[in-house]
Amino acid sequence: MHMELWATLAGYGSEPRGPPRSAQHRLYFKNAEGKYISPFHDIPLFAASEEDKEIPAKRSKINGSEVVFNMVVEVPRWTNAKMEIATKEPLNPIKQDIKKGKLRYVANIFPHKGYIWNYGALPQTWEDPNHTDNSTGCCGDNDPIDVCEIGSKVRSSGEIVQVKVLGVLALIDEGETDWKIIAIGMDDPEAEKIHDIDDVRKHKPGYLEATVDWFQLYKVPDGKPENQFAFNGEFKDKEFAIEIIKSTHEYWKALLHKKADGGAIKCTNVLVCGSPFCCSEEDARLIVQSAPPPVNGDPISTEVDTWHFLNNLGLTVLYSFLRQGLLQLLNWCLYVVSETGIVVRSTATVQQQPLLDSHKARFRNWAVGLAAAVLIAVALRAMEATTHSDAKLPAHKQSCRPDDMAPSGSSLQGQKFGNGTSQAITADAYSAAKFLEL
Amino acid sequence: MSGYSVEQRGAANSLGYRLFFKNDKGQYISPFHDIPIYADAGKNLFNMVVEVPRWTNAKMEIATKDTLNPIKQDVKKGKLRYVANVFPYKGYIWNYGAIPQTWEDPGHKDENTGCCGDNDPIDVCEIGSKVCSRGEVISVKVLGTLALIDEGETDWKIIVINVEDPEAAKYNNIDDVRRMKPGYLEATIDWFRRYKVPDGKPENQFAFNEEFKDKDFAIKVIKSTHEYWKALVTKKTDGGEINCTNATVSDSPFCCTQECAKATVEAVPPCGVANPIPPEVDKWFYYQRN
Repeated sequence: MHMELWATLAGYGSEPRGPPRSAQHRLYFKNAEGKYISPFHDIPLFAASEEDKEIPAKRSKINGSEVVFNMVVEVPRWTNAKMEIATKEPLNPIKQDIKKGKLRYVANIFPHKGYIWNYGALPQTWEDPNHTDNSTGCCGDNDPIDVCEIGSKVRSSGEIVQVKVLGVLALIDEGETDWKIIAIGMDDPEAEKIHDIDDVRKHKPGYLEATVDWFQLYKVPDGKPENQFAFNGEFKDKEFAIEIIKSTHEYWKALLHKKADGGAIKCTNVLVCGSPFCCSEEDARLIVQSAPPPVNGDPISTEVDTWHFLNNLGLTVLYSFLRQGLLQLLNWCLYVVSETGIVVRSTATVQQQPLLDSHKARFRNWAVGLAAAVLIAVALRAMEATTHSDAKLPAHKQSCRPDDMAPSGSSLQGQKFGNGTSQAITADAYSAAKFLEL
Repeated sequence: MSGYSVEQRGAANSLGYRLFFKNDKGQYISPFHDIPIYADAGKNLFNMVVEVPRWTNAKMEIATKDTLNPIKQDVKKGKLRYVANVFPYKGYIWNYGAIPQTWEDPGHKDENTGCCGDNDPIDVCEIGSKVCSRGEVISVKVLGTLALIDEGETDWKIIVINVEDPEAAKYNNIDDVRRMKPGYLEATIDWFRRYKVPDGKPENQFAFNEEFKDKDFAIKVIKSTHEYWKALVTKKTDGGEINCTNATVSDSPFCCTQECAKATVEAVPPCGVANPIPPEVDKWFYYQRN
């Protein structure tokens, strides 16, 4: 399909309220008819083409062999402000995330500057926190599914882009499933050459490695530990990605029709027929008008410009190996504990000596396993604390199955670069990674 | 604070853009000739004129051939020049600029590089945290230097840090950069090697096997380019098209009056609304190894 056709679609607009770069700032969305809508619920997941405007938007649209989705851009490439769809506010405007009372800006992890793709979300999707994902072993992060758009153009916050999906990365961000869909805008000059994850490798060597690197490290300057990945940090292909998207779309449908409990999520929408949360145009307008009017903003603090160079190589490699070893040991101990258990025969009244010895042995294994697991866990926490200041991983975030806790992404990706996990990555390393993959 | 200020003429991202300099008395000066090389000679602190803020692309330079040498955007083949984003980098990866009162004499073959000077003030890469503004004059500590051979001309790149950087006290030589900003020096070489490849130029080369020389070596290089500049501005060397008009260099035959300086500035159309940066500037180039 021609680029120009994609460019004229959508017709969505946005309306800023409140001063930019402030806690009050909101970006509300409007459709082509000027109605206020929710970018979470009212923008169709599947993009319609010019030819098919009569066809209901929800129906899957395949053009040639490509499924095209709508993407809501939250963060333009190379910027730092952490903008997101406000899932807990009616009409879900885009706003800047706030942590510990301060506006959140993502750190610049050398050699990266801000976000390294246009970043956003697919509408009408939801990573259900009540669901444990089979691949990652973790629960959903309670947000629409995230997208990294890898085209040349630096897009704007609030832009709606028609994209095709190329693959997906399975990030485990602070213990929650956090799929990262890799996509490219249909209007990108290279879109005709890029159809799947291997094409990204071919045309943009180093970009996928940089993506893993970025997600692994981006919270470290905030005192959080490195993130992990399922599938050893590998990208899954387009078909797999589309299946993931479809399942999050089903979770969203359940949410909107009150079949799933969204907790504090605001399902207020204008266009989803049959949703108990549907509201009138007038109600939507009142919501927007209650937000402060748009004004000029304050400049960004210069701290945002800091380039973070993470720990030196030697310590990081050592730390990485030690951590990996301890985690494997912990897995084993937990396995022993879970498999051993104490078996009590409720029916037998006379315990034969060999049976009693067997029970004693099992109890001993169980106790040793548990004690070792506790010690190892304490050691790991101590390591986190000394390497990163304020590193606090809440207990409930560690709810993944033990065998998925292996730091699949970190050391493997580190080895691909030939450096430690947190070493600043040079372009030579990226070229090397490309070379290794070919 | 340096006490220097700038006056913009023309619109940003246009051919008419000029950034003129004024001293703390409000007099128009040349950033090439009238800003002293030393911020503090005793402490070996130098002045640096910032031409390109970190992470931007517009190739801004001191206009050595224009009267009063304002900062303007380089033009190549009739088009405004923007440096490419060579993956994984975005624009320039340091605050980039020049040390005033220095000149890489094209009439001199440098004994280290075997090449002639590039006819410009000596270039500086400032590695501190802050993204400086275009036209800012800052005091810097010299840490080392890289000997780039850019299209066959000697092009020293002095590595410095802003004295006002919160960590400046910890940086005293090139090894400190290696230790505290691992990968930055390697990235610097990589950047200079490849930055012109998207424009169809070949990779650049370096003297000394791509090694960074230390602070003392760098200071010697700066001092020699200062001597070349002195000869230039006192007409002992022929600068060709270089414009040596200045307001404050007392023994220079090129010294001019403030009335003259003012007339020069006012001849340039006044400050206008900025043009947008063309979207192709955002493209990320992925270098294919041959």
